[in-house]
Amino acid sequence: MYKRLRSFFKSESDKLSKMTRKQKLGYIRDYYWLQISLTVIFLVLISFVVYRVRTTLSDHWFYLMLANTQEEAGTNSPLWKGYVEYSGYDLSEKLIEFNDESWFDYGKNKAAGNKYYEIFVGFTDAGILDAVTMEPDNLTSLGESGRLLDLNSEKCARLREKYGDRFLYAVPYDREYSTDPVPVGIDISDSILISKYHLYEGGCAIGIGAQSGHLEAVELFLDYILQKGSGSSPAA
Amino acid sequence: MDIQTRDRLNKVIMYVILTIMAFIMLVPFVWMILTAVKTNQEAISVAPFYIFPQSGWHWENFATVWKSYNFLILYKNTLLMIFFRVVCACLTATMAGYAFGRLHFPGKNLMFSLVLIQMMIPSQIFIIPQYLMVSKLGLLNTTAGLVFPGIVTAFGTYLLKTGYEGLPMDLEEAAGLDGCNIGQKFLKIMMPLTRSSMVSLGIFTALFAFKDLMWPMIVCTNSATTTLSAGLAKMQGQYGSDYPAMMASAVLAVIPMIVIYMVFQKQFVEGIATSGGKL
Repeated sequence: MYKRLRSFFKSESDKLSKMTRKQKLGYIRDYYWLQISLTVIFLVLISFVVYRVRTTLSDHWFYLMLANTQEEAGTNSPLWKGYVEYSGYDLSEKLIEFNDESWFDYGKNKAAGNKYYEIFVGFTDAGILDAVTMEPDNLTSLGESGRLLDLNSEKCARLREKYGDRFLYAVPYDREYSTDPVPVGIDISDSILISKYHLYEGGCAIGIGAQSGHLEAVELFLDYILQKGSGSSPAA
Repeated sequence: MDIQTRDRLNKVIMYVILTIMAFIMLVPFVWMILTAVKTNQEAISVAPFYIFPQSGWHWENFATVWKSYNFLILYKNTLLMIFFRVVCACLTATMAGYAFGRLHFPGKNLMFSLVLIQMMIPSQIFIIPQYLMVSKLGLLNTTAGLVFPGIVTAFGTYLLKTGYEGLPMDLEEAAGLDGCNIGQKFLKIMMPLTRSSMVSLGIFTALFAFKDLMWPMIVCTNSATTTLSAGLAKMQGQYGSDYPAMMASAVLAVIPMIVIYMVFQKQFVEGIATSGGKL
């Protein structure tokens, strides 16, 4: 292979050495423009990828899915702006994302075939999703799937202390995990902000993604949505 | 019964069967249009059951959904996504197909096995890794993000590889004797001969891109960058009970594909014949 390449380069350089400058350019254009174009495209792509990976923010402080709401509550909505201000998180370091484009009802045939549910599953299992809000009944049935964090777990001690009286319970499908009801959600139906922005007319609850690593941000969101205290700024 | 009469009778029976089948295929489409111009009450009424609108044809349903959703933006995003996916898929698949079909290099079989494995794995498995890549590149809510999973195609590589393998070796050898290097053989001799495979791939890619729902829903959370399929799903989520509005949106959404089909009808049929695929 190496020998073949060496003899190829030698014969090409021999050919080029016998040509004038104009002939050289013409030869390279005619014979190698595809290879040169592809190399340039490849280098541009690699540079683009390296540049974007080094300069783009992709990690999240907090990723919230607001399922089954008809109102605008996504990123850049007043609700989002309020949370950003309240939490004090620095958006130049990481992102805060509110996704209000999701509609599924796990109670109906386990949301089989529902693309939004499939997205929820993917995001939850990948640890991207931190929390999901929806109607209390839907949330408790979703809690049976085991994709919402068991709020009895040790890492939820602070949440239990602050919001234990609001817990919603569900019996998981996985009987090996528990045959008793476990807390899977927190009722936030009485939130002034939920009423103000008409997000859920029939009550609302929040569940935490089973793989979420941002419980502080979830707690801050609960404080914000229930208007508790004046907010703290862990990141500031 | 003489042969001529029997042939004519066979033809009549065949035409009747084909007409019935064509009618069955058209019913959902006609039903969609009829529901789009009904009132919601007429659309959901079971007893009495209405086939045609009873209180006039409500063409204003189209105007309502057109105003509610910026269809021009949805059309633009969808067409851009289709265009770039077709261009990228054809470019990468033709080069990879040529390499796998005609060149000899170490690890060729192993690499092609990896391509084949991709075709055997459900595409949903790739969605989260692809999302993380797009997110890391900062391409969420952009056309580039929409195009991303379609830049390379395992199916296209396989299709083009078989296309190149079907071409006679003599052509390439003759080109070599005439002084063509590998790039020239590929560009000037071999690639033009796989045009029908490329057209098939282009058609398949365009249709898959048009129908792709999951990916646009994941990468485009912003309505200004979303596509028709994801926009329609959003309407379904939001207006699940307003059937005329949903059907009017569906009619509007299907228009670009009908136009594309009308323009490229011959190539569509050729493409199906070439690849033996089902669209």
